[in-house]
Amino acid sequence: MNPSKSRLDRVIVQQTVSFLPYKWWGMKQYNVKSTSSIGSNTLLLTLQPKNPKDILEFYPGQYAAIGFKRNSRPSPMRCFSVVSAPNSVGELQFALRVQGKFTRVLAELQPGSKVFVHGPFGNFVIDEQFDRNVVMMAGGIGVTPFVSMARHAAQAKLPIPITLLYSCQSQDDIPFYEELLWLEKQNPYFRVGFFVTNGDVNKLTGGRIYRGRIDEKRIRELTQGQYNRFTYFICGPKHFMKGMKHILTDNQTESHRIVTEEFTPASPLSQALAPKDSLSRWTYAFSGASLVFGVALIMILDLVRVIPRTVSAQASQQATTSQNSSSSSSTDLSPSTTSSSSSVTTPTTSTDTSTTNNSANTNSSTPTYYYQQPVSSVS
Amino acid sequence: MARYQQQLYALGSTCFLTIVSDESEARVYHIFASLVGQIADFENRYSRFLADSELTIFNQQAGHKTVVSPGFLKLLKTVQQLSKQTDGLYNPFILPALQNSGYIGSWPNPEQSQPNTDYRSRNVMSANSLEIGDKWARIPENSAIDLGGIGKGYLLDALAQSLQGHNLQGYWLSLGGDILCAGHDQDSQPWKVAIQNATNRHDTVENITNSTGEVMAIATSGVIKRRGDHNGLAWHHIIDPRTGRPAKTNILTVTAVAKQATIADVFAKCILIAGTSQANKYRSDHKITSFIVQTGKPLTTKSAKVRS
Repeated sequence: MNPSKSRLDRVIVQQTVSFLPYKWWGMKQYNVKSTSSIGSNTLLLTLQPKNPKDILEFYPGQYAAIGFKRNSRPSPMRCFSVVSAPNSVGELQFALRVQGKFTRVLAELQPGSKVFVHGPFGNFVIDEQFDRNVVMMAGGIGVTPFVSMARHAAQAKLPIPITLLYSCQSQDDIPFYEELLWLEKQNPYFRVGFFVTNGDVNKLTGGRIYRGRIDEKRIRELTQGQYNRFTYFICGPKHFMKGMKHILTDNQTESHRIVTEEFTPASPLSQALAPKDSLSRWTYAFSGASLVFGVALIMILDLVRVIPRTVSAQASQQATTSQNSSSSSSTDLSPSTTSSSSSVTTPTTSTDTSTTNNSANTNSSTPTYYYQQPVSSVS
Repeated sequence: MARYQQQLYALGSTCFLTIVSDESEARVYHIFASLVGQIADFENRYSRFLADSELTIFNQQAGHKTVVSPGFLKLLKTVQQLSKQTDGLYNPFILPALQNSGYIGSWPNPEQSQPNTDYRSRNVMSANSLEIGDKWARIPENSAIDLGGIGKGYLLDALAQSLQGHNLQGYWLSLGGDILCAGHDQDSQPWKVAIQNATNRHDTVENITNSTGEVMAIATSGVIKRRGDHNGLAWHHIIDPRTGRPAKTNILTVTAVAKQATIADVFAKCILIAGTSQANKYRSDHKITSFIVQTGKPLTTKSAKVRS
């Protein structure tokens, strides 16, 4: 035993905690506070941090990945825009369309359920030094990052003129309609226009309501033809973003004044994670396929080996039973039992010889730990 | 008053967290959990080996203004400040040179390349190429940064700050050999930190005592670990930004003592690159409190066997 080591007064955890799923460590842990519906198929998910250190620091407009555990197994992570403002202490909100298995399960989560949040991500953020006049163009649920920005602008009293052009399919499905009108009253720099593409608008009683799509005429009126005095943030379905960009580029808007949010293929996270060449994808596919076939082959070989023995053992047992009724069945089955137990590894408790005193605790099941002295070495 | 210790493997090395406190065991367990969480979070965010770390995403966006988290922004500001203080001897842009020398993948497989974290085709830039805005940062196109030169020290300072609110009589934290200690041990004696012998890892050359009980950081940098052979050439992981090659020096290790672990970590590397004359200057400027230099035979191909 190293004489420089003395016993620890008390042991908390000496071993590394690597058995924990490491990827979860970097995740923020939240609990579901509430889930509510805000329009057809739109879910407002409100989370609260498990610990104060878990509060996600983000800028309005950024998105984060959400995952949860179901039947003790972690789900895949999906990215959604944050709706709450950064200074909404103790609360993190996401709004999302319920249109797939993942979001359906998310909608069914009960208050108190554990949710993991990873992020934030994205460059869809107002640069307060550069973006002095902002036009936001939202298509449908693409309004979510703008809600966060508008909430923050009102709370922080940002002296930046912001105009939100919000395109919706029908008057019955405008998430955050009342709140945006309320924010307009709170913030003298914030204006919102609702564009309803289908059906009537007779139920909408407040705000600037327009029938039809956001078109070049409206944008020209808003900018008075001086397109490069504004910074444009666009978020929504692909065809919507393409249309809006088309209008702006046709009017010689500088490219750095157009900021778009695309969640999937072009986001920095997916770029970083995406295989760079087809070789990687093929390698990945072949690895998966060979794993499946390998497991299947082993199972088949095991069955081929075990079934004849079991059958012959049963036949032998029947024969023995018929000859001598006092014979034990376990004796007859022993070859099969031996065969299966030889493939099972006996669990053993391994201890680090440098930190345990085996001679002192030969019969003890609890290892004794020793204190590590501080030594500065090359890091 | 009792002494508690937790060991874990993180940041590519073994870490020890030691606390002296009369708090309940449950409370101490909570403190350990918080420290371990911070270490894991730091690694997940700033490791150059992880394809989805914030640092990797930032490097992927080289040439563009990239919105970064407040924590990353603060870290980048510290990087910028230290680059200025060391006149560019500490340079986060050395990553392509480090990878071209042979240290590409995570230890113990330094030559293992992953497509998303391989920057060998990029260029080394000057330390002042880092631009920082109110929420964003930008590095020049075709460049990449590494926070390995500052990470452990910076994290140690952050961990020490998080311990300030707790009722502790003393603690020492070691992240792969970089140490930060404060207070005293369970017998009310000052902490003594041994400095490992550069040529015999089982021996120590000196003990540094923290007699005041104030925060004291000790960082050792050297060429005796994280090294190997690449294409017949010996390499180690301390890159001289002036040449873009592993530093040519007869110094094996430098131990720097300072009030902040970030300072000790960065300046130990700078002394190793620039030599003892620079070390005396840093001490006279009160940047570091003291230093220990261990010299030996310069690194040659024959002597350069991979050692972790």
